[in-house]
Amino acid sequence: MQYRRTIRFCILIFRLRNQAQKLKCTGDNWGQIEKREHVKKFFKSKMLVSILAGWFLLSGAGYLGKDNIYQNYSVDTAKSPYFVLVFQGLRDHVYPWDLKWKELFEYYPKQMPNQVLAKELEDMEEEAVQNRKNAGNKQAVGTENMQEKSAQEKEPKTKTAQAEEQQEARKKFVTVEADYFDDAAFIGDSRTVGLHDYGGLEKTDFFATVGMNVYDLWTDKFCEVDGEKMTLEEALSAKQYGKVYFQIGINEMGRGTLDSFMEQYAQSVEKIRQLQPKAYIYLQGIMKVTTEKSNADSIFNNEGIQARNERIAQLADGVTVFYIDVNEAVCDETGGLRADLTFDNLHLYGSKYDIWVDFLKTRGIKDVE
Amino acid sequence: MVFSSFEFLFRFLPVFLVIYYLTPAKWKNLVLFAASIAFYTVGEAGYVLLLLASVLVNYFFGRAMYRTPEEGRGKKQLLLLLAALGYDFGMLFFYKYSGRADKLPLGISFYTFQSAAYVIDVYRGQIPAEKSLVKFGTYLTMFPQLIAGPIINYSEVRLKMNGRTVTLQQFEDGLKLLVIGLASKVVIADRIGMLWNNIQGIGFESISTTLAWMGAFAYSIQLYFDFLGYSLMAMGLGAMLGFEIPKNFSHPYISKSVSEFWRRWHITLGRWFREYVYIPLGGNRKGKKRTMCNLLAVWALTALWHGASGNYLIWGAALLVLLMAEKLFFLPYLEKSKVVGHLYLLFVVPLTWVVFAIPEVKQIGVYFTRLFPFFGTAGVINQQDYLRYLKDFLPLFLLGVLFATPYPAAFYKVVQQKWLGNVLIMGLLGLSLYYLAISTNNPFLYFNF
Repeated sequence: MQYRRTIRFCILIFRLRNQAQKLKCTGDNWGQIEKREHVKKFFKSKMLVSILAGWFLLSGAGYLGKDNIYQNYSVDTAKSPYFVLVFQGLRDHVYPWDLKWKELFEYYPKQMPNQVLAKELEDMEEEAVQNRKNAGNKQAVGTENMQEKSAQEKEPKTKTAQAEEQQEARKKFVTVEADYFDDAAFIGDSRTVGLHDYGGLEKTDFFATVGMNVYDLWTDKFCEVDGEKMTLEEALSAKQYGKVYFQIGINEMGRGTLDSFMEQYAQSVEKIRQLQPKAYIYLQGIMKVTTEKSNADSIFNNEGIQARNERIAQLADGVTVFYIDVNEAVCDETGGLRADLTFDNLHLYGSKYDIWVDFLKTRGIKDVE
Repeated sequence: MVFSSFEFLFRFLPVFLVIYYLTPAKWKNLVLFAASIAFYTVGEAGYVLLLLASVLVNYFFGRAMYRTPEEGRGKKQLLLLLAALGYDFGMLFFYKYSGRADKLPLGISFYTFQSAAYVIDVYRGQIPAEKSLVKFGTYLTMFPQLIAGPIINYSEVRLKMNGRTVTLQQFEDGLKLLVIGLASKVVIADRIGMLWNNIQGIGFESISTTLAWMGAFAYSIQLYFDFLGYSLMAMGLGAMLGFEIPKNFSHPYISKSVSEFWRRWHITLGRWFREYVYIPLGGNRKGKKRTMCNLLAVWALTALWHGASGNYLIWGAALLVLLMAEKLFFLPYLEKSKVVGHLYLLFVVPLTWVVFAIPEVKQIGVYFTRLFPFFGTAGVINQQDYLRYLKDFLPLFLLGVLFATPYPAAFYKVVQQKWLGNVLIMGLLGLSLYYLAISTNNPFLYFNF
C-alpha cells in the first residue's frame, strides 16, 4: 500500500509540474493571457516604447510649432501625424528648439472678428516676406522702385501698352545667328540647366541650378565661374554681358502670393540691371506645363503660370528690359506644353531644346534707325 | 494605401493593431479579414467586389471539390478544378489583356496565384478544403501581402488560422523587419529611382553611354530595394500578427549565373511556377528536350504574368535564352568561377531590367544604342552629363551595392538583440520618416526642377 501511494503521489506531482510548465510556456503568449497583461507586455517592447515616445514628443513639437516656426509648412493631419512638420523643418535647418515660446503664449486671438484676423495674418505674412527679403538682399531697395511698382499695379494695361509702343518705337526683334549668344548670360532653374546641357550654346555663360527660385536667387552660391562657386551677385559683377536671359518662377509657386513673388521678382530684375547696366535684359515667361499636368495639379498649373507671366511682362520697358515667351514655340492648341516634347510634363527632352534656342534666335534686338 | 506612407504607418496600422490585440482569439481572423477589406477599399474601392468574388468562388469550389485521399478523386473533381482555375485565370487575363492594363485591379496577379495554388492543393488532397469562409477569406486577402506578395501557400498559414500567438520577441522582430523594409524602400529605392526618372526626362536618345550604364545599374538597384522593401514589410507585419510569411529575396545580386539569380529573386513566384507548372510538366527528369520545353512554358508564363506589353515578352525571351544557354553549356563553368560568374551576372541582369523597364519596344532599341554606341550617334548628347548625376547619386550607389551583399545582414544578426541593434533600427526609422516627410508635401522630389 505504502508503495502504491508513493507512486500515485509522484504521478500527481509530475502532472502538476507538467501543468505548471505548460502554463509557463503559454504564459508568454498574448492569446492566453488577460487583457491587462497585454498592455503590460506591450510596454516591455523597447522598440514600441521608443517609437511611441518619439511619435508623441515630435508630434507635440510639430503641433506647438504649426503656427509658429512651421507656419510655412503644411500637413494633412487626416493622413499624416504632426511630426511631419518637424522633419520638413529639419530639411531647411528649422529645429524644434527654435520654437518661439514668447509668441506662442503672447498671441491669442480672443474672439477676434474674422476680417481683423485675416488682416492680421496678412500683415504677419508680409512681415515674414519682408524679413526674408531683408536677409536676402543686403542692399536696401530704393523707394523709387517701389513707387514705380505700385504705379504699375494701378494701371497695368496702359503701362503695357506704353511699353509696347516704346518697344516698337526704339527697338525691334530680328532673327540672329548663334553667335548672338556669345556675350549672353542665362539665369534660371532646371529648365535653364537643360538649355545649358542640350542647347549647344557653348560660349554662353549659365547661372542656373535645379530648384532655383526667386527667394534663393541672391543668397545661394550656385554660380560657377572658373571652377569657383559664388553668388549671383559676384558672378554678375565679374563680367559685363551684352544680354542677360532670365527665367525663374515655377519652383516657388506653392510659396507666398502672386504679389509677394512679383515684389521679389521685380527687385531681382532691378538688381540685375544695376549689376549689368549695359546689357539687354530678357525676361522670359515661365515655360508652361502640359495641360494634363495642369489639370491635375492645384499648384503647378498653367493658370498660375499665365498669371505670373502677365505680371512679368509688365516689367518690360522695351528699352533695356524685354519680355519674351517661349510658350509661343512649345505649346499646343490647349495652351499647355506639347506632350511630345516632354516625359515629366515639365521639362523638355534633351533633343528638344533646339526649339527653345531657335525661338531665342528670332528675338534678337536691333536698334531702329 | 502603400505601406511606405504616413497614412498606413501612423493611422491605419496603430488603430488596427490595438483592435486586433484586444480582440479575443476566436474573433481575430474576422478582424483581420475586415481590416484587409478596408485596406483594399481605401486603395481600390472599385475592385473590392472582384476580390470578394474571388474569395467566394474559390471557397465554394474548394469545398465542392475536396475528397480525402482514401475517397479518391474522379472526373467531377477535375472538372471543378478546371472551372475554378478557369475563373481565376480568366479574370486575371481579362483585366491584364483587355486593354485596361493601366486600370489593373490592385494585387490581382498575387491573389490569383494564391487562390490557384489553393484549389490545386485541395484537388491534390495535400490540404483539406477550408470549411470556414472567414479563415479562407483571411488567407486570401491578408493585407500584409495582398498587394505585392509574397505569394503564400495555404499550407503555410492553415494551422495559424486556427489560433496563433505572438510573443513579445516575435512582435519586436516583426517591427524591426517592418522598419528595415521601410528604409529599403524609402531611403534607397525611392531616392535612386530619381536617376531613372531623370534619364527618362532627358530622353534616351540624348544620354551619354556612361549615363546609360549608370541608369541600368540604378534601375536594377531601385527595383531590388523597392520589391525587397515591400516583401520585408510584409514579413514584418505578418510576424506582428503571428504569421510566418516566407522570404522573397536572398541576396540575388551575389549570384554567379542567371539560373541562380532567379532562385534568389522573387522566390515565392519561382516556387509557384516550379510547383504548379514546371514539375507537373515533368521538370528536368524527362530528358533535355523536354526540360527545354518546360523552361519555355515557365518563362512564357512568367513574362505574361508580369504584363501585357511587348517589352515583357522580349524580356522573358532574353531570360529564356540565357537560362537555356546556361543549362546546356556553361553553367558548370560559371559555378566554378570566382570572378567571371559575378561579372557576367552583373553585366547581363541590368540589361534584362532595362528591357523590363521600358514599355515601348522602339525605345528599348534607342536605349541599347546608347549602351553600345558602336553605330555612331545622332542627336544632341551632352557627354559630360553623367558627372552631375555621379556626384548626386554616388552615395546611393554605394549604399545599394553594400546592402545587396549579405554582410550588413550578417552584422545585423550579431547585434540584433543588443542595444546597438535597437539604436540602428531607430536610426533607420528616423531616416525613413525624414525622407518620407520631405517627399509628401513635395511631389517634385522626383522631378525637382
